[in-house]
Amino acid sequence: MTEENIENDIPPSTRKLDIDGDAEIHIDGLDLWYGTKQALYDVSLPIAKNCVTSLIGPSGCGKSTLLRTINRMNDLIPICRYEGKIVQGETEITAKDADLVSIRKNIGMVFQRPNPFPKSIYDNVAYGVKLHHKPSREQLDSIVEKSLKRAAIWSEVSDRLHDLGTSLSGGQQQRLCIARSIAIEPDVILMDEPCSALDPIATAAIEELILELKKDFTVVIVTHSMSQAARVSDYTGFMYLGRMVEFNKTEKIFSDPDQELTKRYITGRFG
Amino acid sequence: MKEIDKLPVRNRKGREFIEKVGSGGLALTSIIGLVFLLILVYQIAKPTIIDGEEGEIVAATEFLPISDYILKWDNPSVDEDGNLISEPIIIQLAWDDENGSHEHEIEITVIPQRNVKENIQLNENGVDTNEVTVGKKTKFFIYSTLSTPVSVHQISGPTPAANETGYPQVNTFVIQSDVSTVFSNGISIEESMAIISWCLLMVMILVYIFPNEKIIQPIASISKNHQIIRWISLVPFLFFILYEITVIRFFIVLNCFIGLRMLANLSEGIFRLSNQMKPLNDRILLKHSIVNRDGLMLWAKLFFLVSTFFIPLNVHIPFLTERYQDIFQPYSSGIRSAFYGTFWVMGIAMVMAIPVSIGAAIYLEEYAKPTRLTKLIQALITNLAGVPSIVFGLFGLAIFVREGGFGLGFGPSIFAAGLTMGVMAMPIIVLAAQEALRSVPRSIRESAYGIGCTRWQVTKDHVLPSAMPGMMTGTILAMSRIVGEAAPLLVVGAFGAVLFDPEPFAALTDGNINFTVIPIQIYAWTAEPGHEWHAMAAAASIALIAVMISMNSIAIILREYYRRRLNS
Amino acid sequence: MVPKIQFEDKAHIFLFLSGLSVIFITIGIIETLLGESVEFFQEVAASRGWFDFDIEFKGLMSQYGMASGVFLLCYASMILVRKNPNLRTKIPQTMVLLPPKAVFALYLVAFILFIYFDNILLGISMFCLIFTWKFIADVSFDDDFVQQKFGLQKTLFALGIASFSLAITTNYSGALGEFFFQSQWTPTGSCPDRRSLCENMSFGINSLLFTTIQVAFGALLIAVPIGVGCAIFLSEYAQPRLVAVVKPTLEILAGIPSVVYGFFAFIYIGPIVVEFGEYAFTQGWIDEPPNILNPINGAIVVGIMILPLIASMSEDALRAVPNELREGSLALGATKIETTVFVMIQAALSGIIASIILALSRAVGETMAVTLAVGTVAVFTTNMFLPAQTMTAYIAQKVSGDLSYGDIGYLTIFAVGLYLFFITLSLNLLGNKILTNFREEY
Repeated sequence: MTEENIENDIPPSTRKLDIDGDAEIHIDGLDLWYGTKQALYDVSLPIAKNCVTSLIGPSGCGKSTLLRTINRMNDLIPICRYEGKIVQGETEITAKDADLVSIRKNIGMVFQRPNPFPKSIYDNVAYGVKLHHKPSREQLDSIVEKSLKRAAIWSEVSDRLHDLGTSLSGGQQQRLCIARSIAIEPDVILMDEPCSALDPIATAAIEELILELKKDFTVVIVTHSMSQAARVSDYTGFMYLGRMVEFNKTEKIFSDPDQELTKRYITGRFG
Repeated sequence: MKEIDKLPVRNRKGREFIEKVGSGGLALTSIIGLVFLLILVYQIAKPTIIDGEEGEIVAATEFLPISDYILKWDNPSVDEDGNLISEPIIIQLAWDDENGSHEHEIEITVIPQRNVKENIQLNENGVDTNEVTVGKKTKFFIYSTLSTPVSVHQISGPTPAANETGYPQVNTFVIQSDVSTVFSNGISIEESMAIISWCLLMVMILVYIFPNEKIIQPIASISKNHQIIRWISLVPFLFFILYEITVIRFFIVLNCFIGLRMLANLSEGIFRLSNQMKPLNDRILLKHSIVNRDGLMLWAKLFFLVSTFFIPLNVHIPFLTERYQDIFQPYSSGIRSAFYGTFWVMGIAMVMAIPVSIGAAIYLEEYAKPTRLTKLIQALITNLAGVPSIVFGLFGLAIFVREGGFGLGFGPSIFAAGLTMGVMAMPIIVLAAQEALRSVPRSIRESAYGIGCTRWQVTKDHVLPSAMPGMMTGTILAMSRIVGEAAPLLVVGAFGAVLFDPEPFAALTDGNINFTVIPIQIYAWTAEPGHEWHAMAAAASIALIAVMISMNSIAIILREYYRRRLNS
Repeated sequence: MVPKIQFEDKAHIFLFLSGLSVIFITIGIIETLLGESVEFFQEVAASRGWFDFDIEFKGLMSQYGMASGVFLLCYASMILVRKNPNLRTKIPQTMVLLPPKAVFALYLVAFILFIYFDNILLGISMFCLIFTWKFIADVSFDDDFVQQKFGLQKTLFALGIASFSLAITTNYSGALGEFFFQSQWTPTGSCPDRRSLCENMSFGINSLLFTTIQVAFGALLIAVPIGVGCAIFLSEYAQPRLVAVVKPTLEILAGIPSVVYGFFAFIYIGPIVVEFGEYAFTQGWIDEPPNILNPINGAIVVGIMILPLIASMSEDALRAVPNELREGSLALGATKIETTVFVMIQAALSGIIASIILALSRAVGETMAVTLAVGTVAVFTTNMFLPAQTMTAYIAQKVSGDLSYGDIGYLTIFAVGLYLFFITLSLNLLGNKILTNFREEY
C-alpha cells in the first residue's frame, strides 16, 4: 500500500478514553502548529496514574511533539502554538499564565541523548533539589543517595560521587539523568526515546528501571521500538501523522487492535 | 505529602524577581555597548563642527567690581564697501539673575581699519548696545558688573582666527566639499581626456547590456583585429610611467583600459560567432560568447560609479586631496600627504603580502602533508596573528629601515613602511584564505582529480575560482584593518607633519623619504594643544573611518556578487 | 628533522617557499628582538662592570651556571640511559663498577669542594654528579629501571633549571636582574656622553610593567562583565529586534581604529576621570590631585576596545554548548537565568576564559590609545589618577624622538619589545590551547 492510499484511510483522532483507575493527566483536543504547518490534530488521551503509557508510531507522527507539550517544553520553540487543554489534577498545564517552573517540577523529562550537566554526579542529582528547596547537607546527601538507588546506579557510583557526570558510560549517564529527574519527586516522568542512543545491555537496564519506577511515578514513554512498548508499558497510544489513531491497553493493541492502520503498523507493513 | 516538600522551599517570588532582574540586566549590558558607540560617535563628530568664540565672564565681586572679557577678530567681516564678506558675526550673552535667565545678541562688524574700538557694557539693566563696529586685530572688551557669571557664545560668522575670506565660519563642518561639473571652469586637455574615458566606459557598458544591431555592425567590421585592440588597451598604462600619477589620471588610465578591454572581448566574441556563421543579432548568444563578461562588467560598473564622482561631477574635497598641514591656520589644514601616504603604503603592502599569503595558504591547504613542519607553520601563523602590532614595527625597524646588522637600509620611507605592513597583514590574510579554501566542498577537488588534472590544475582551475570570493573578501577586510594601524608606522618612522606629496620609491632613488599616513596624522594632531587641532584630528578620524567603511563595503559587494554567481 | 619534500611541479616550489616565508618572518621577529636585546643587556652589564673577571665567575660561567650545567648533565645522562638500552651494555664495566672505597673517596672530594666553593648549589651538584654516576652504574643491568626513580629525575631537572635561572638573573647580574626585578626606569638619565651608559641610568622595567598591568586588568574589569553579559544575552535571550541592534554595534566598535579611540580618550574620557579624581582627592582617597593623563583613562578606553572581542568569542562558546543541556535544566524547573548561570556558563566556561585571555593579550599590546591616554612618565605608582607609561607607550615615545642606532636608548625599545612579545605570546598560546580543548569537548 502506498503512503497516499494510507492517507485516505486515517481515522480521525480517537476519543476512546477508557482506562482502569485514575488518570494523572488528561489531554483534551490538542491541536498544535509549527508556524503554518499543523503537527497535531485533535489529540486526546488520558495518562493513567502509576502506569506506563507508551506512544508509538512512525517517524514524524508527532509523538515527541505531544510529549514535549505536556511539560511545556515546546514553548522554547517560538513558532510553535497550540490549542486545546492538558490538565493535571487541579492545574491546567496549557493555561497562558501557567507557572512553568512548578509544572516542570512536577513533570520531569528524560531525553533521547543522555545530557548530564558538566558537574559532578552528586551535583547533577542535587541540582534540581537545590533549585526549588534549601536542603541541609545531610538532607541533600540522603536525597542524592535515595535517587541514585532508585535509578539503579548507586552501586556503581557510590565511591565516586564527585567525578564528572560526563565520565560515565552512555547507559550510566542515562540512569544518572533519570536519577536527576526523580530527585525532585515529580508526579510524572516523560521519556523521549530514552534508549535510542544506548546499547542493548544498557537498554535492558533502563527498561527494568522503568518497570520499577512505575510503582512510584507515572511514566509516559515515546519509543520507536514496538517490542519495547510491548515489554514495558501498560497502555499504548498509536499515532500517525499527528493523530492519535488508537489508544488502549497494551495487550489489546499488540494482539488485537481495532484499527486497520494500527494492525498494519504493528505487523511492520510500514513505518 | 512528598518527602521533598518537607524541605524548606525557596521563595518562588524571589526566583521570579531574580529572573526579571537578570534578563533586564543582560539587556542593559547589551545596550551599554550601544551607548558607548553613540558617545564615541558624538564625541568624534562634535569637534568637527566649528565653534567660535566661547567663554565665560567671571562674576564681579567686591574685589573685582568690573569683570572684563577680551575679544579680538583677526580679519574684517566686511569689505571696503561695507558689504559683508560672509555671515555676520553675532555673539550671544546669557546670564541668570533673580528675575530669571536673560539672553542678548550683539552683532559685531569688523572693518578693515585698525584701532577702531567699541566696548560693551553689561549691568543689571542689560547690555547697552546691539551692534558694535571694531577694527581688525583690535582688542575690545565686554565689561560686566553682574555678580553672576555670563556665558559668551558665538552664534554665527567667522571665528576670531578666521582668514580674509571669512573661513572658517561657526557651525560649519570642518571638511568642506563642493560639487561642480567639470565644465564650469573651462576644459583643459586632461579634463577632456577624462570625459572621453568616462564616456567610453559608459558606452561599452551600455553596449554590453543592450547589444544593438547598429552598434554591432561597425564593431563586427573591426572584429578581426581584436587582438590588436587588446594590445592597445595596455597603452594607457604608459601614461603612468611617463607622468606623475594623480587621481584624475588614475581614472583616465583605468577607464580607458577597461573600456578597450571590453571592446576587445566583444569583438573577439563577434569574430568567433561570425566564423561559426551564427547570427549576430541574437543577444543571448552574443552575451555568452564574450570572454569574462561578468568580471569585466563588475569592474566596469565599479569604476564607472566611482569615476562619476570625480570626472563629470567633480566632487572636490580639499581636505582630502589638496591641503597640507597648515601651522598657522589649523582649520585650513588637510590630509593630502597622509591620504596619498596611506594609499602608497597600502599599495606596497598589498603587492608584497597578497601573493605570498595566498601562496602560503594554498600550500598549507592543498599541498602540504601533515608533517611537523606544516604543523609548525600553522601554529606560527595563528600566533603571529595575535602579536601586538608594535612588535611588527620593531621588526620592520630593524630589518627594513636600519642599515647595520641584518638591516636592508631602506630608511624610514614608504617602501619600508609598506613592507612592514605587508608582513603584518600576512598572517591575517593567510588565515582568511585558509578559511575560504576549506569551505570549498571536497567534491569539486575530487571530480577534478577524477578527470586527470594535476594538483596545480585542480587548484588553479577549480578550487581557486570557488574560493575566490572568500579570499577577496578576507583580503580586503584584512587591508581595511591594517589601514587603521598606526603603531608599527610610528616605529618605522612616519612623520607627524609632512608638507609635500610622498614619493613612494624614494627609498630606492634617494629622494625625500619622509611620509605620513592618516592614523599618524590623527595622532600628531591630537597631541597638539588647542582645540582647533583637535577639530582637525576629529575630521581626519572621520576621513579614516570613511576609507575603512568604503573598503568594507567593497568587500561586501564583491562577496554578494560572487555569492549570487555561485548560486545562480 | 629536514623533511623530504617531493616537488610536483613548479607551482609547488613557489607555494612551498611562500609557506616557508612564515617561518622566516617569525625567526626574523624573534632574532631582531633577541639580538638587539642581548646587545642591550651586554652593554648594561659591561658598563656596570659585571664582566670583570675574578674568582667569582660571572654569568653563565658563575658557580650557579656551573651547578646548573652539572645538574642538567646528570639529568640528560639519566634520560639517555633510560631511552637507550644499548648504551648500558656499551659502558665498560670497569668504568662503572667502582669499589666502594673509591666511591667513598669521591664523596669526600665532593665534600671538600663543597666547602671550598661556598656556593650551596654547586656543592650539591657535585654530590649529585657522583650519585648519578653510581646510580646509573647500579641499575644499568636492571630492566626495571625504566619505571623507577622518576622523582630523582624531576629533582635533577628542577635543580638544573633553578640554578640556571639564578645564574642568569642574579649573577649575570644587574643586566637581567635589574631589568626584571627593579622598577626605576630612566634610560635617559643625564650623562656626559649620551651614547654610553652611566650611573644615572636605570633599567628596571617593573614600572612600565605595572602600568601595563593596571591598564590591561582595568580594561578587563570593564569589558568582561559587559562582554559576557552581551554574549549571554545574544545567545540565550535573543530577541531579533535587539540582536539586530547589538550585533552591528559590536562589529562597529571592533572596527574603529585604535588612534581614534586614543583621540576619544584624550578628548572625552580624560576630563571625566579628572572630575571624578578631584572628588576623590577632596575626599582624601588619593593623596595627589588627578591629571588628565592617567591609567584609568587608558583602562576605560581599552576596555571598550576589547569588549567586542570578548562578546563575540564568548557568544561562540555559549552557542557551542549543546542545546540539550539547556533543555535538561529547564525540564527540571529552572528559570532561564538559573539555567544560564548554573549550567550554561559552567559548560562554556573554558571558552569564555580563553576569550578573556586572548582579550587580555590584545589589551597588553595596545599602543596608540594608551600613548595618548595614559601618558609618558615612567613611574611606579598605585595612584591611578597620575600619569604613567605602559611598555608600548614607552616604545612609541622613544621612536618618536631622535633615534640613533646603537644608542642605548635604541636598544631599550627592543628589550621592552621582547618582554612584550613573550608576554603576549604566552597569553596567546595559553588562550588558544584552552580554546582548542574547549572545541574538542563540543
